[in-house]
Formats: sequence, C-alpha cells, structure tokens
Amino acid sequence: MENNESQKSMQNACDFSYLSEMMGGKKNLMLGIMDAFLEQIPEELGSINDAVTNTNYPKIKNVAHTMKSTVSIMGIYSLEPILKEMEALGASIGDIEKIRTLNLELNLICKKAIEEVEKEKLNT
Amino acid sequence: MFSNFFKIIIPKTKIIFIVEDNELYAKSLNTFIKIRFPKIKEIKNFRIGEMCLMEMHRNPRIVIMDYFLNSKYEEANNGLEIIKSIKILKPKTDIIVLSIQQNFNIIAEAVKQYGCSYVHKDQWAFNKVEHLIKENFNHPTSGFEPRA
Repeated sequence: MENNESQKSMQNACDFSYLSEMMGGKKNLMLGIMDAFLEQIPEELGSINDAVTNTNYPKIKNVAHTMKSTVSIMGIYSLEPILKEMEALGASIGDIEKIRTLNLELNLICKKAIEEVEKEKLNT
Repeated sequence: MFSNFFKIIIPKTKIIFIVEDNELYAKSLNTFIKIRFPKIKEIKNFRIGEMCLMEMHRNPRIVIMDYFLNSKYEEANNGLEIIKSIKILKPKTDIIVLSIQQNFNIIAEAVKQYGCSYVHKDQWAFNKVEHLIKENFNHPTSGFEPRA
C-alpha cells in the first residue's frame, strides 16, 4: 500500500506527448502554450478555492468544468476524474466535505503540474 | 512553374472562427489549426458567442465552438442559442461543436438537428477537428470564394 502511494507520488502529473504532437514538436509553440497554462491555472485554482471556501456550488461546477479543458492540454489525466466528480457534486449541491477533499487533491496535483511545466520549459 | 505562379496569386480567403471561453484551449486549437492548415487566411478566437455573431458578415468558412459558453461568463448565451443565431445569419456555415460534458450523446443529438458536427473534447479532439476541416475544404461545393 505504502509502495503504491510512493509510486503514485513519483509519477509525473503531466504528459507532454499530447502537447508535443499537437504542436508538431515545434518548441517555440509549445513554450507559448506552457506560458498560457502557467498564467491560467493559478487563476482557475484561485477561483475554485474561493468557491469551495464560500460553498458556492454553481461556481464550483463551472470552474471544474472549465478546468477539465485546461488540464487536458497538458495531459494531466489524473485530474479528469477529480474534476468530473467536483463538477457533478457542484451540480447536485452534493457533499461539501467530499468537495473539500477533492479540492485538496486538485491543488496538490496542480502544484506538481506547475513545477513540471516550469521544469519542462527549461528543457524545451 | 505555372502552378507556382497560381500559388502566388491565389489569395488566402478561408476564415475560421473559434468560440471558446477557455483561453488556453482556444489558443492551443488555434495554433494546431495554423500548423495543419497554413493556407488559411485567418483563425480568430472569441470568448463569447455574441462577439462571433457580430463578425459573421466576414463569412467564416467554419465556426468551431464550445457548447458551454456560459461557464465563465454567466450572462453569455450557451452554445445552442449561438448555433441557432449563426444558422439564421449564415445558414451555410459549417459548425463544429466541442464539449467535454459527460452526457455528450444528448448534446450530439441536439446539435445534429442544426446540421452541426460534434466532437467530444478528449485526446483525439484536435485530430477529429482536423479531419472535419479537411472534409469541409474538400467538399465539391467549396471553393476559394467565401460562401454567402
């Protein structure tokens, strides 16, 4: 169990192969998209954190929905089920404690993703 | 040599509009289309459908739009309202509807009623859009002239 957890934390949050393929491997274009991601994702995280703090269900639903598109570009597949569940819970005015737990996970994975994108930028 | 001559004088006339409130997604899709279709004259992004409607007089060949356009801008019309307006203004415009919604079958059925193509926002979405653009450009009724 512990091994699984440590393996999970060792895994990369981002899969840049999708971005690379879509941008035809052109590094300058990939950098432009990475910069846009680094600008947009903190804003979205701020919005969803505010929404969770204020138990604003419609906003949780809407921001989670938008973030699904954002994370898909960087191949952050581990966030898809988390955002999907947050969106559904936001739509159904569901369990706020469950939303808070999911939001913690969302923040952790996004933080890791941001670090990876910054690192990837240096290698690109 | 003769063909090169014509390549130079044929103007780029194809215009594509992208209506997407997620700026990162719109920018990525815009860049992707530019790479795959370098001869397109212009690919313009709009954050809300209403802005796109104001420029429909420019006769875009294709409008690619997200279905849920009011997730960020609450007062914006949703995709279906925009589709109806586009079809009234420019009935021949091809519309590709994108969505990441789970119940995508319902949306797909809704947009097909208006003759739109539907693409689910998954990892193959950009390639599917590329295929649909190619189909549009290769269509026998398509020419270099913008359609009314």
